[in-house]
Amino acid sequence: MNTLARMSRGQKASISSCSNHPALAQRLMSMGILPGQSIERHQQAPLAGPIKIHSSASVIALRTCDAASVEVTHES
Amino acid sequence: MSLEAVGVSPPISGDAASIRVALVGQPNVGKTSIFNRLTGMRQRVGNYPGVTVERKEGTGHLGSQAFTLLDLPGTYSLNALSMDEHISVRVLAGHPDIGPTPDVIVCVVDAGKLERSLLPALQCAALGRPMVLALNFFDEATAGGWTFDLAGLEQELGIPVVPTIAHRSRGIDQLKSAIIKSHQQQLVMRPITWPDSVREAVAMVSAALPHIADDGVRKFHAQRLLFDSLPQTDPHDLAIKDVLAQAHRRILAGGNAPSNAEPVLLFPRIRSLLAGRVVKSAQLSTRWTDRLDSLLIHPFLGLVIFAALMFGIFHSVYSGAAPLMDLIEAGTLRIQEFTAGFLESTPMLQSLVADGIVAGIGSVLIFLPQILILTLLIALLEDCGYLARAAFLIDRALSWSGLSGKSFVPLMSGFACAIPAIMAARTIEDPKSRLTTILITPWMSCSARLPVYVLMIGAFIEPAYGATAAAAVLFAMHLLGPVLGLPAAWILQNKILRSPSPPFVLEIPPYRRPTFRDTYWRIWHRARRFITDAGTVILTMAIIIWALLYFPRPDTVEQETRSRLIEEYRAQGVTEEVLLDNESPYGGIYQAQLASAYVEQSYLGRAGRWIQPVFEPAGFDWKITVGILASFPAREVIIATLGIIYNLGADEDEESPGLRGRLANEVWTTGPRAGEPVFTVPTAVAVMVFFAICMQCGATIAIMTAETNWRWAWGTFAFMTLLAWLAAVFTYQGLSWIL
Repeated sequence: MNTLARMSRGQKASISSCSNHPALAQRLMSMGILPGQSIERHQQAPLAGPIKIHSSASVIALRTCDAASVEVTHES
Repeated sequence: MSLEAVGVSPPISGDAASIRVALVGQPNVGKTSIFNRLTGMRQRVGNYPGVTVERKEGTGHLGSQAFTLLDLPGTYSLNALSMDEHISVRVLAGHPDIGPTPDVIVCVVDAGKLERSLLPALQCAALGRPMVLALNFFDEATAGGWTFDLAGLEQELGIPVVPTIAHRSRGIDQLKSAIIKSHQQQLVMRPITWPDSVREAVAMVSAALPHIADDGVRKFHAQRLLFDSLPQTDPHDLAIKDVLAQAHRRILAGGNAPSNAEPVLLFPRIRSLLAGRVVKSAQLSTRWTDRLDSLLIHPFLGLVIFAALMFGIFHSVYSGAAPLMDLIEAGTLRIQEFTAGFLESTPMLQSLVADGIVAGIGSVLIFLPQILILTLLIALLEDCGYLARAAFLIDRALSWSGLSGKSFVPLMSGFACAIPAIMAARTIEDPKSRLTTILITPWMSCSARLPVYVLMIGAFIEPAYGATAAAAVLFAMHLLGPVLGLPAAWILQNKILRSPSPPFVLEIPPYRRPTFRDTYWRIWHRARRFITDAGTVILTMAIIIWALLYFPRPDTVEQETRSRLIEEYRAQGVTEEVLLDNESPYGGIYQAQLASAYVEQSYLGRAGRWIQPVFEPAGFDWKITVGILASFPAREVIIATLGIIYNLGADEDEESPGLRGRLANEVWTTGPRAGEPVFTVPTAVAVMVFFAICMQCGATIAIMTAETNWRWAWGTFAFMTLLAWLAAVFTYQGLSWIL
């Protein structure tokens, strides 16, 4: 299964599951990032810092450890 | 702290004619601009009872209708994860400490991000209260290619929909009329059609809440209990737990996971609501934002720009405030002189007013320039969208200690002044991270410590080791803060507060131009809060220290000093008249010696002699000890106090050759080291280390009490004092052994 953390810069995908961490899942969903939403991975902060994610609903940044729990399916 | 405690009156609710209007919305939708435009000058800011969530209320008129406007904290979802969101739910549902359910709810949304920002609006619908939807940043949305069928949207929602551009004061009058219309015609949002399973589950929970009289409020409560991941239930109420478990099973049986049923069901509802009514007709490029982002958050260039900006802020706070601070200092002196002249006939009152009250007020106001400049710069950076990017860039450097990028600005600001820095910690949503940040902020070496460093380095390090060593020591003193503070943060987060690092989801808002009016408001509120909250405490402490330095003031001191000096100067051929003549050069000497003798005889002076053995291992004599005791309310007082104790008068500063010379010539008068100089390099460094670590600042304690509680504030104070003592002893003993 692919996760948000493993995407490379500029890649697009759609969210398939929002994390098994309830607080994180709730927060992502309230920001409009929920299953089915397409997203694009942008820059990562220096020293393996957070990753910037774009979607039509919002632009957010997530730490890699949190991003690893968000499952995605790549768009062909 | 409640509203009452900060000196503002409780919410206006007695006025029957006044309606209560609540502003709800996600962060970054421009809610504050709308609040400012609707209320103007008639605002007050306090805290909600028991928590440090800012409570903003304002009043105004909608035509002839008076209203009270409540600005709720930014809320992504009413499924409350943060303290801010809990408060929003409490205000909406009505709470005995806060007030009844609002009469009208105004939901502010970002017109360009409607799909997402409508979530809290739909969650409010259950209340069955009149509502208004404000589509803010309407210009931005239309420029971004969105087209709106406002009439269609109004019809579908059942409530007035008003496009606004609040930061340019557009749409405000229309918003006001919409609020009146909604209130008069009781325009409630069309109820959401839930699947049967959810509707039944809500009914089950509602039935378990018979004590709530209002149907809407009961249904709202039932939905929150049902959908929230951290439902606010009474832990002793086992019956509701059973009902919730049953209701959750019902939702599950209907094919939805109870934990995410609400967003999963609401978002399709929002999409169908918007379909055909809000359309992105043109795909305009976001190249401008993306280009700026690729520069500002570039792994290398981004950090360079970040460092430059932070240096710029630090520098402006540090030096930009200097002229204003000098002005306040000079003004204080002038007023002191004036009041002193005025009250010459009553020496005690004269001293109380001039040295106690006026000096105390001066020591409060002296922080204002730094607070204003820092608040201004942070407000500008936050409003234009840069602060979120800075948090993004720097998160990794702080995440190991359990903090996040959001702690950086408060910590960095602490190098200028801890007061505005602790206030700046309000931008951190997670309450435990905010607490940790507040607690370690005073470790950062603030500008008030600089005079001590300059004095000690100038008198002892530079002459002995040269300018390079002097600069290195100065830098090391500033490095001490993060070196001790970040591990302390780690300990606090992992061992004491034991908070699991909350997931760090940072919204990166679009770049926007800050507006003068909103920035001005923010600065004004900060300044007023500082003066009312911290000011009173600082003033009280200043008066207490004044009393301790003034009393008991026995008459014998003057006689003894006079006869001692007459004796001493007779040998030099100076007559008593010349000596006691204020105009003669000897008059100054006499006055200084007298002041010094009074300090020595004062309660604080005696305490200094009494406590001195505690500081003996750090190499401090009783005079340094008195200086340290006197500077607990405000560390910068040390220079003036040393000036008095060393017979030089109070108007000494850290650069004056007189004070440096006196320090260098000071010898131990008693004890095993009699005849040896008091100030050696180890003593000087130990004094600096003590001042670097000790929280000698009444204002910091006051603001920390206001932002957390007195236990944390005084606990931090006690801990830092102990650590400062240990570090000073360790430094003195270590350096004495090496050198």
